[in-house]
Amino acid sequence: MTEKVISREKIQDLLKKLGESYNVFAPVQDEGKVLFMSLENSSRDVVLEFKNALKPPKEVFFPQTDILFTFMKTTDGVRSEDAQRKKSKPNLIFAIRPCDVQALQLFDKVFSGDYQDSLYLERREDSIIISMVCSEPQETCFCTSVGGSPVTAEADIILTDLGDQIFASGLTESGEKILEDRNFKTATREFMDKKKEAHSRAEGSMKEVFNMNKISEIIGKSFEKPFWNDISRRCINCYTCTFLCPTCHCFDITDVKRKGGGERIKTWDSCMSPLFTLHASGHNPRGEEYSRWRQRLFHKFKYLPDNLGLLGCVGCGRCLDTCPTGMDIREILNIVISEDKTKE
Amino acid sequence: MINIQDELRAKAKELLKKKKVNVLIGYGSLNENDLPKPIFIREEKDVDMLVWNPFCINNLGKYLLKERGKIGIVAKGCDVRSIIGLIQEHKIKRENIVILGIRCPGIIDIRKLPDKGNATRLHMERKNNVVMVGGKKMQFEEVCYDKCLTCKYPSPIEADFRFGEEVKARKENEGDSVSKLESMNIEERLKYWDARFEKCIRCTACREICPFCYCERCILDETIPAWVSRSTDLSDTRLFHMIRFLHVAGRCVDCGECERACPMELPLRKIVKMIEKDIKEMFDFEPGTSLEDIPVLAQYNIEDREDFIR
Ligand code: SF4
Ligand code: SF4
Ligand code: SF4
Ligand code: SF4
Ligand code: SF4
Repeated sequence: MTEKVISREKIQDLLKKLGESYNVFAPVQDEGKVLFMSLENSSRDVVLEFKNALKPPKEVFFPQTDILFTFMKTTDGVRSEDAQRKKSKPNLIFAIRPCDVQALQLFDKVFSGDYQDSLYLERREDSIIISMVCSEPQETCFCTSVGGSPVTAEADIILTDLGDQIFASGLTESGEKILEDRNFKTATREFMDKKKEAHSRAEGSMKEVFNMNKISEIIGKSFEKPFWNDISRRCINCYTCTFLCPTCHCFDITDVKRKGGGERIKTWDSCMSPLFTLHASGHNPRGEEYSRWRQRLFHKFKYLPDNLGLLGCVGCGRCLDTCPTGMDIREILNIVISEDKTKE
Repeated sequence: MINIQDELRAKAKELLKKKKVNVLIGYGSLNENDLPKPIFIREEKDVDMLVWNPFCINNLGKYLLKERGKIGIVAKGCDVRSIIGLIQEHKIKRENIVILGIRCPGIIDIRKLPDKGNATRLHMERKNNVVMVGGKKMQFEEVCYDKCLTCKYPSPIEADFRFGEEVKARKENEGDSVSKLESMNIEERLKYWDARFEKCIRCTACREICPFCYCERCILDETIPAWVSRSTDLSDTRLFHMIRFLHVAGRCVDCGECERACPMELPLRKIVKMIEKDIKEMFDFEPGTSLEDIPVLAQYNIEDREDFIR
């Protein structure tokens, strides 16, 4: 592992250089919000002082709207054409939080399982992930309760903010190669100690909010329990929690009419929508609102662990932070867990 | 000072005990530290979960459509207007609901607090117009919701019981944001909105939270044909908002919930204000202000001075 430091003011320069070989996505300010945006053709300044971006950078690999092909009327019928996919350079995500990196591991499994999703895989190919340690986790963060950590990530490089200097550890070959840039200096003992200190401070600030022991089993037993309607009562079934979730990956395929023809598009979908499971017959196996909340929990804490060996929640806290009705997945999970205990 | 929360709990207990309501929709927190959330109280023993504090922001009016029988509801001045609207539209019957109206001194917008108030929320105090946030003094106007700054009806127009001291209407000073937009030409306006609509993730929170977006079949969800595509192409997102706002024009009461619910922080109340102004100017109508009113776009008048409709 190579360990280097880079001074804060050199970051813009580094990103500019990286921009020559990569399409760089980095956190920028947008009217008070922090969002990941491509730095290509953009003059925005990258921000490093943020807790986490409002929206996870999942859309770098899995955009909300993806055109599969276009079709148009011609004099002798209909002609279709694959959507233009210009991938000039590999993608690079800069300063992505560890939880969001963990979510990408789930994405990798989902999109390269039985079906190889070429749209995802093409964007993911040769991509570089530069993660940023969370020095000050938020009150809503609970990565450590779902097997994550604010200070480690399976990335190419992981950065730690030490104030004037940013500590950088190269974790893969491609990461180490980037650290060869002249903006990076060898890390001295002093910085290594500071980094250690920052890491233990961050880890120390995290609390365990629930016990994941046998979670898939416990959830599995709760399907028929009477409490679902009660605990999801105030949910209005919008798609905020699923669209902003770094692990949610459900999509829909529809046609859209455009002038002279149309497009077949792949768009984010949400299990919180009644349309999600509506059959052509009109029957809806998840017609009740509570059954959608139950599905969301089951998918994250039972089906995904059972099928792929990974949890569908990385503890980023976005869903509870942005829910307009204050639904808190930690609270719901704890109710399910404690109801299971009272049964025994 | 009268403690609104204690009074509310006492009244809620009484109503449930005497079976005057079978459910009470209010604000509640499990822990003292939590932000209040909408709760549904069905038994007397749960009444102690009921809270009132300057963070009770949700407009609970929409939940009236989710419940059956006699319903009790806690409502601020602005929320009451949406309840009046729902009664006017025959979605609910006045005699089936018991309104616990709050004379509202204004609600704090946690997005305006440092770090969303996470660290300081519990140590917040409000004395008249000064809010102490973690030892720092802030003017209430700096941290309250924009809608509260110009609230015309902080004291409920309609209620069965009223709580708190009379609050006077606040001054109208938000006109600026609308007039700024109005002074723009069409291209500038389109540019302004496109820059915002671009951020819209079409999560539908603005629709689902709106008390007036109650249609069981919404044109935005139709699939055969799909009038509005799921695509986040700007043309589709523009259409999404144009349709939604046209459908609430003349009904929208500026409860501000659409803007608050929006995770991408789109300034939706700017559209709300524009519509409100148009409705006032064109029809001299103010939605949700009187039980006797017929919703303006549901009225027909043979004497109408516009002749296109005859
Ligand atoms: S939990 Fe919250 S964010 Fe999710 S669908 Fe329900 S109301 Fe919307
Ligand atoms: S379920 Fe909520 S906390 Fe978990 S990863 Fe998704 S958005 Fe984050
Ligand atoms: S959940 Fe953990 S990794 Fe994610 S932002 Fe919070 S502290 Fe960082
Ligand atoms: S709530 Fe905001 S992001 Fe969601 S659909 Fe409405 S405007 Fe778009
Ligand atoms: S459009 Fe917005 S402000 Fe108007 S009633 Fe609906 S949620 Fe309230």
